[in-house]
Amino acid sequence: MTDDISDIKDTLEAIRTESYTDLPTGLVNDLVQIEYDTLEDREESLQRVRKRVEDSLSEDN
Amino acid sequence: MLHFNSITLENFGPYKGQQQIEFPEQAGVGIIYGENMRGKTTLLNAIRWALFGEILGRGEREISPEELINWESKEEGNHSFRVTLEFEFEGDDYQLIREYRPKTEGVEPNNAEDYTQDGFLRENGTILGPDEQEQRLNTILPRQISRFFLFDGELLQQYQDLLVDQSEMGEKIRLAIERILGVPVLKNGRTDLRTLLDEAESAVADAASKKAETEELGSQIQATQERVKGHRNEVEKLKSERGNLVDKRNKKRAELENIEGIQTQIERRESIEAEIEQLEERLERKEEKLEDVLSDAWYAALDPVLQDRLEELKDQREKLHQGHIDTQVADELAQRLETASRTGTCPVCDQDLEEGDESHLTDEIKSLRETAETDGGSQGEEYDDVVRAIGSLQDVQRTNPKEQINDVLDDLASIRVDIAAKKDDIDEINQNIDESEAKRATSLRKDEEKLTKKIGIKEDAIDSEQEKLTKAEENLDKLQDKLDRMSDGSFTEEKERRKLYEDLFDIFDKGVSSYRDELRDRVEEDASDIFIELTTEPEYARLEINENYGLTIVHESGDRITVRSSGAEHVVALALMGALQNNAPLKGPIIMDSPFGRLDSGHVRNVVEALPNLTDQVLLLVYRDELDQQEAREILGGQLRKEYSMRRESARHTKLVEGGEIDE
Repeated sequence: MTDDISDIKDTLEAIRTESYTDLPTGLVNDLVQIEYDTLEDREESLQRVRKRVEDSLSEDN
Repeated sequence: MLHFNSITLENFGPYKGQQQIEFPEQAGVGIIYGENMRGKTTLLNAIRWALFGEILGRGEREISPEELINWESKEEGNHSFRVTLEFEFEGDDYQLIREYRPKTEGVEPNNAEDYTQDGFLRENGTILGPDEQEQRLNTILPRQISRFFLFDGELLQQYQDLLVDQSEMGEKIRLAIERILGVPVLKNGRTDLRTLLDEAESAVADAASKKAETEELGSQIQATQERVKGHRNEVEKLKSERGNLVDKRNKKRAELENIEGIQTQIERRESIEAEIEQLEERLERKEEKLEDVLSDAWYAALDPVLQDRLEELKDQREKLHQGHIDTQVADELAQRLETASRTGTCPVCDQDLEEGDESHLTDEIKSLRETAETDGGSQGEEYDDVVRAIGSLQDVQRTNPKEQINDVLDDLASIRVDIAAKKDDIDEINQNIDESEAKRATSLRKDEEKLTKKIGIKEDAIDSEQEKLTKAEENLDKLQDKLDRMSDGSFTEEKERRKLYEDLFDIFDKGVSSYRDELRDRVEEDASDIFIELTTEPEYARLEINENYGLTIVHESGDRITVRSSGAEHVVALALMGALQNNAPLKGPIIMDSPFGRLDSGHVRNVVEALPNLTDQVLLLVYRDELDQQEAREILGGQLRKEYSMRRESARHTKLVEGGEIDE
């Protein structure tokens, strides 16, 4: 069984659909996954979060 | 998911030579039977040491590794030990080897400095570098949450602390619970997004400061951002300093708890010393009083003379009193005779007087009058003088302090006896306690008090800095709003980036509290279900969770069971463990050391039945009286995958034997 963080993702998705519908679903889920994967490496997590958000901005533009 | 395949011990604790336990591949329960002092806790410690390089004893005291070298092999000249743990995690095979050995081969080590410790982690056959190894182990089983996978009865008892508000152990466990449940995923995300939002806000201000019409506002925003950053850093710094102080205080408190017996004796001694002080003050007051009453003590010397004179005066008063009565009688008689002489009739018998009686009456009246005048003249004044003299002498007698002196002397003696008895008590306490330990306890307590004061000061500073931060943030928001209004259509890209980070930060920020609330609800529900399955008391309806994830039993009447037995504690703790396993993103094996010690047979049966549902891999380390072997086999049936027993070879040598034949 793989480690399950779907509950965390569901919690954020509920908040997103209620008040932040402009944000793409995938972005929030991806950030949760990055944070889980890099839980023990804070530098790595910041870099990967930054890259993922910048990618999202580039896609929009 | 983490799955242990085997553990190999070499000269670790009582496990002399090389000995191995193979964990079953299939999901289910393994049981290792061993009586006291055979090495059950040591086996659990071997796993902890392999994973984290440290071993904790009772009260979370770290045990020095050289204490764990097998005594017999040490005597034979072998001063090293090694643990090899093989496991799988998310499809990869790992071999973890940790070794403790003398620094210089061939030279007999004398103390901890003469040893060295090495650890190697092979991932699918390739050895990882030290940093990679540490990071990988932290991902596979972080030390903070290992307590939910590798635990003993002592740890289960700590869960009671979760019910106590502000308990330090409770706070520590609460953080560990949130760690296993994944809350740091959101908290770390929030921190990262805060950092990136700050950067995006700076980029907007930077762009504004480069345009003539927004230059001034942009500069103001940059300056305010710096202030916000400064206050934020200061708050963090203060919080970290407070954390260090709290850690220091916890250490002092832990040390104090270790010498709790002495602590009680010292407190008793201090209390007796305070009582002696009060008694000595009373003694001083009584001595002052004695001095006062002694100033009138000379009256006592006059006492016999006074008494004689008083007797004389009382006699005189009696005589004068009698004389007064005699005068009154003579006067009365003279009056009657005068009446008889005047009327010629006897006032007593009412007969006429005879001739010759009259001259006799005249003589008698004359004589009586003379007597009355002689006795009654100065008699009244003399009587008054005597009565006054008696009164004065009696006053002097009343002032005589003899009795008061005796009372005060009695009190003084009684106080001195009390003081002596209390000093004896102190001597006895002093004989029972080691004075150096007592001094250490007193010094620890003073240190603890000082640290508490310092923590209070730090908290005030944090509040004050937090207030400044809030004001600066409000100011920044206003300036940014103003800039947005002025710069409509400019720096669009920077503003879009800022907006995106703002939204993402808000989602993660709200997510932390929202996820916490959901978790508490889920843990409460799951723990209640497991508890009802485990408990043998049919009237217990559910468990109720508090902010710290502490659980309280609720009776079917709705009453909360605030005082519960140690057995009930144990069952509640196991229910919490099960609920955490159900809700944790990370799953792994559970290894329990002596988990049934405080449970009756009904509860043991229920817990054993529930074990296969807790997680895929459960290993029990139990002694014979704790879990009946036949009953375990019956309850678990096919879910019982493997049995080992610890066989005694000597006090310093235990052999692990596959199969459940228990060493008698």
